[in-house]
Amino acid sequence: MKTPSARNVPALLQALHQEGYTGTVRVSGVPGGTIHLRDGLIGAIETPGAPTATSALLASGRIEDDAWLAARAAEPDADRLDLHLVAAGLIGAAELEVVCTAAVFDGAFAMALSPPGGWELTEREPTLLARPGVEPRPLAEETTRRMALLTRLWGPAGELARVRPEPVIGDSLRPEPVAGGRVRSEPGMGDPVRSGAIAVDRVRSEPVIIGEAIVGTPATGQPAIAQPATGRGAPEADSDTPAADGGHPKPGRRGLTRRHQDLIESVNGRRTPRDLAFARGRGLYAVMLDLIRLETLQAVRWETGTTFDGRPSTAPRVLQGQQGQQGQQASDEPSPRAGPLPRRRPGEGSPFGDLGAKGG
Amino acid sequence: MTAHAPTESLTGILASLRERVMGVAESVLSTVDGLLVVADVDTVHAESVAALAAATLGVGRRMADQSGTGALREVVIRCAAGHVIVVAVGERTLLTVMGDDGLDIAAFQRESPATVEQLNKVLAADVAH
Amino acid sequence: MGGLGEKRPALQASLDRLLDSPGVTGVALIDAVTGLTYGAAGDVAQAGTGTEGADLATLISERLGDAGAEGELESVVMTSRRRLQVLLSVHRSAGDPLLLAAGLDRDRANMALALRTLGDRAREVLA
Repeated sequence: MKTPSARNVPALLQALHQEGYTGTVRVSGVPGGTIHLRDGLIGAIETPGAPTATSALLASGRIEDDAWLAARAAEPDADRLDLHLVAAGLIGAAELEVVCTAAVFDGAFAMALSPPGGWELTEREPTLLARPGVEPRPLAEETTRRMALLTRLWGPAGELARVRPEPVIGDSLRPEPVAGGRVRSEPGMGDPVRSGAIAVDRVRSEPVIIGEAIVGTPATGQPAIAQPATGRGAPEADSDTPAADGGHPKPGRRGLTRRHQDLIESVNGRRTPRDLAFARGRGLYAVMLDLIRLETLQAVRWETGTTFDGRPSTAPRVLQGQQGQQGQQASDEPSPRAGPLPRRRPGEGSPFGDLGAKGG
Repeated sequence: MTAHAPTESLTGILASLRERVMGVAESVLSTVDGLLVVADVDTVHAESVAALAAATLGVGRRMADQSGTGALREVVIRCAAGHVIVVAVGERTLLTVMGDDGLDIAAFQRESPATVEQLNKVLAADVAH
Repeated sequence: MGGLGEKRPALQASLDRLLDSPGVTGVALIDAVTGLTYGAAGDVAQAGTGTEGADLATLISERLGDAGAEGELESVVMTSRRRLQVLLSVHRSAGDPLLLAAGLDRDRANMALALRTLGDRAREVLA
């Protein structure tokens, strides 16, 4: 089929959506990525910049390695793997949809962090898919929203992608806890939790009052996160022994959610947000949000403006909180171009969403 | 040139590889005798990797020989949670790179010739002094 | 959003079923970290936007954590004269937390029962 002419990847995906295209879009760049389309909808995105659904399922321990391999062997058409995983009782159908959809949005976001080189269309390559798939317009809009939010919260997303956070050692700066257990917040009570009660400012026709917030382990009575049994299931070794974690003592943990604590376990001064995402089987964007929060809480810190080995960077400095060019990496190495290929069109801006010079 | 300069340069090149190729987590430079030269590591035991790298490449070469597929380029070991790549650096040295599940193998294959060349230069300069 | 597939997508079916729960007028399944809405049914406006729900749950979690509460946030109930808006934590064995946002009509059901029923059914939403 004739490649529709498009000035950038989002426009290309729109055109392919109109046509109900089934096949593959390979986007070159550093790192580039592969977009899988079925009937015009995006079913999966693979990029070195973010974990795929498969990677997340395995690294998080949701599906064990052996079970996965057996499923792959039993279902040769990867497009149908989701049906098999559900039929085998390895994961619920709705949950798998959530994981696969999340991965599409995360992959698009990761690809938006670097400028694309160009693209080519190839035929369908079977892979684990989100069903029914994501439309290109909401995908581009959400990607743009994410980039804008990160810039507002912290700074250019491209720069955030390059930080290598390390844990902050020492006592937590958070206040001493009061007696634990179930906490209820009710209007009129003078307990400390109520002082945290929030009047939600919502545009509604009636006033809304916080009634109560209940904390506790979820009603199922099972632990919030099950421990995976074997193999790759464990999201890397969360060891308590100092030798294993490099010798750094754990920072104070009071008040941090479980997933924040787990993330801090993986933070080691070498890993970028992307590396942390792969290590924990989580999304890149979610990890970035958590890292921003953890930095604010002074549980992690990172240097911006220095290179990995501590030498001052020669990259242009963009200070935190200032509005910078979205999506532009501070020190872009030109990506190697192999030269023009048939049907390639150079993209403008980034693969997803119009970034341009957005104010935060 | 002091004894330190080449080591810094070598580790600098290894760390730079980590910066340039997404998914590279750790790397080890070692000799064909299984000895460690220098490493940019975090969790792996560099000496053990050094000992294994020579054997890995050796077996890879013999297999390439047996299959008549030409000169070995690199050995890529793909695992549940990542990849290990072993590539020769000149005649006497090996580079082992450990990456996660999202290792950009295409980028690695683009970058490794230049990396190997830089490593060779520093190693040759070291020998010359 | 059309799609190939012999039947309605599983998540959509799950959420549609929740509309049968007494008093429920709208539901949405939200990522508690990113605020992404994975699916919705009924009067979605009643359930609030995904990012609002996620932000609210995070804020409340942290306030409660600061105050020394142990465990993870289970639910948030926002009450007005005629309506309830609820955020329920959805259990999953691995992966980032999810929230079920729901809007309920107070006139149509006994609220304690409605919340209890919704809470029970919410556990099955990922099946």
